[in-house]
Amino acid sequence: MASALLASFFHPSEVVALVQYKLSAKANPNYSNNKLRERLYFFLNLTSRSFAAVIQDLDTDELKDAICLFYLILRGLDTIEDDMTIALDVKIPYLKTFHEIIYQKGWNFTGNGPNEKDRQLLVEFDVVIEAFLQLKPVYQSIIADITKRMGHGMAHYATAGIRVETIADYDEYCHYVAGLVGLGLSDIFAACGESPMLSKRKDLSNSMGLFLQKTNIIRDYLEDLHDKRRFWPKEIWGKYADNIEDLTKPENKEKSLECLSHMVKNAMEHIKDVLDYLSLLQNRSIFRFCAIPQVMAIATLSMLHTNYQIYLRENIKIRKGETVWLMKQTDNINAVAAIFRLYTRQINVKSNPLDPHFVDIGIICGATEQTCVSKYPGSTAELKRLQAGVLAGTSGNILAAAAVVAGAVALRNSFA
Amino acid sequence: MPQTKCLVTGGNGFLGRWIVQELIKRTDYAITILDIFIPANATATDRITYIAGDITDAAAVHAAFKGHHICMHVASPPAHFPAETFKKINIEGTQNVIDACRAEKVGRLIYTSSASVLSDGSPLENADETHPIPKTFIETYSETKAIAEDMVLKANSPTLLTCSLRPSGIFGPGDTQGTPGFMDVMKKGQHVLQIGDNSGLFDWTYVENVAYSHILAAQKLVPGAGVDGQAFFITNGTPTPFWNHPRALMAEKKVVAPYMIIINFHIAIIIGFLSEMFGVLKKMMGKDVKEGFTRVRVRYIAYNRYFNISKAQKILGYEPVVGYKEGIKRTMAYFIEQEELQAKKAK
Repeated sequence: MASALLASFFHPSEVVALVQYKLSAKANPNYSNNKLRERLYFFLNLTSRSFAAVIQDLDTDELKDAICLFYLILRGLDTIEDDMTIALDVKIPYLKTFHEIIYQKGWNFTGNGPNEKDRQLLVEFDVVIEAFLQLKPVYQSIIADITKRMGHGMAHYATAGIRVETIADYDEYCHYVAGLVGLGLSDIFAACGESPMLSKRKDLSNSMGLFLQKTNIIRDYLEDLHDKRRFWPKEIWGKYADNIEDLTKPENKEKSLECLSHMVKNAMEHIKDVLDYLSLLQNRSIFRFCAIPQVMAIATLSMLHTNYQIYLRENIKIRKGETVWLMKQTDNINAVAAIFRLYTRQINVKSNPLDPHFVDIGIICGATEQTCVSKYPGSTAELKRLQAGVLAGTSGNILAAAAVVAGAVALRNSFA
Repeated sequence: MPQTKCLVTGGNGFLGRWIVQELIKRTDYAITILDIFIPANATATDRITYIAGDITDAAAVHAAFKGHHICMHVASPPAHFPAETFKKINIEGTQNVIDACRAEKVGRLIYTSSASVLSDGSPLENADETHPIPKTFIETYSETKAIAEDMVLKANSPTLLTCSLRPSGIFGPGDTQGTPGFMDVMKKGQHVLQIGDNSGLFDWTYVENVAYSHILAAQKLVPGAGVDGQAFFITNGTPTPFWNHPRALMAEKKVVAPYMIIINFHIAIIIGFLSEMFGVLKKMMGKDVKEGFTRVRVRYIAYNRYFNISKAQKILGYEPVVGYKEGIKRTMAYFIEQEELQAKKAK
């Protein structure tokens, strides 16, 4: 907390948000009257802290449980796929049949290597299966369907290797690992009475996943490079370097930055879909559940844009204070549209006119503004409010600094 | 069937020349260029005839229009001309064109209007053709264009079908105003200045797209097509932050401002006001005043000013043929070449 506060020193609106967040932080919900659910949510907290928080804010237990299980099942699948200590011929059948395994009462898996961080989830997977079988059949079949498709995708990539050559390959890969989650969530929302349009607009649901995944892929360039993974499409990086690892070389700095803005531009192409999707949501808790990760993604993308640091160090993140401030602001489509306008403007300001993607990124920023003004006119007032908040915070900061200086001078004088 | 004859007023101007090129490329019309200035080296071809003539001279206009089927009324003076000239050319000239069309049985009249017919100094966001024409205008140019457009659209009748095109921010090779203006700013080193936070969007339109829209309008200006009596906004459909445009132009010359001085919008408005007052004082002292830094200009730059082109897309089937980025490249390739030619001449 202290370090987060310090990092937000020059962003006082974040300090306010951080303190409010700390004061209002809820205790984890109490599931002690239900051993099964207690264990389930224990695993959720264990495997994903960020996801756990937004899931637990959902309105109904029915929806919470369905999404929690959707998450845990995909996490289980991922834990098998991710573990390089499992031989390929052992792994593939599991990936391909995981959608059937989840119907087998009592099934669990102890084949993970000892260092696999989510090993315990599979060791006690019978808990997940038991809860899954208690879900309404409609949720079961949605989850099983996505699990099947994702498992087959993973099996394909595990055998053939992840070769992201073209932008189409890149989109396809992101579809399997993230777009499918968007599709599944939309079906779950539709099943519990949210707008049925959601499950019809597969393109929008897919973009929701792609925007998040692409932002992560850009951010994790160095980490993935060290782990010998490569998700940036050659169709893009090949324009700027002979080998993807050459992007880290200081002598290629200019080209590397051009490559980065090409990747950012590619991710930004999903913004319109993301806003379209979010505007279809009726229920406030579902809206926040969907919008918070997207808002974090645009803030992250803005931070990554023209930021050479991504080639120098791993684990670049937006400030904790900024995260909390954004969570506080994410309330309705107008506020979210305003946040997107705020960050796309930042992106445009950061752009280098000599960069070959300068004009195109400007066009996407313009298109975002244009869409928001026509479809979410309330976002203009929200944007003014956000900017005023940031500004008031900054001037408050200057005042505080001035007060400290004045105080110090007064002290010095009184001792002199 | 005899060959369709199309007359282009101002056919030797920046946009006019592009329209003539598009007519050559996309139609089989015979083309007549009516312009106050015909260059000495202009030679008629089997498709192009030149007539030197003043649009404000009714008799000359009548004579030139004889035997034509289509008129594209493009002629209009550049922005730095005095107010009286605008009234004379844009209003009287347009009246002459309408009269001549009626008298000479020209069946189709396409008027090159301007998106600035909505310029009353307030922001324009996704403005479409239902947006009312303002009562007051920021400058005579916009006002006279709006009056002329109204005259043209009201002249629409079964024997003379009319329509109006409203391009915004035309730029391209041969551009005499926008692009050279930005290049001047760069030469003077003023490109480090920025008014406002660059959040205002502006619609720039590559000249070939505007020319192309004229061809579409001519072809679709037939009974029952929903084009006659109508105005259409024409842009590239890609509004961008205003200051991106000069930066993109400069970047083609590999020039980028080493630092930026950003003048806050409100402060710029105050400076504009003071500069206007200064101008008034100078005028009172009988000195010549060139319009400089005014509040109107500050607002024009900082406010949103972009349009909705779906009517042109739907009814004219218009889509930009050259993208904005490509337009920037082609424009600067031309101006860089011109500069090099001039540098050679100077030697």
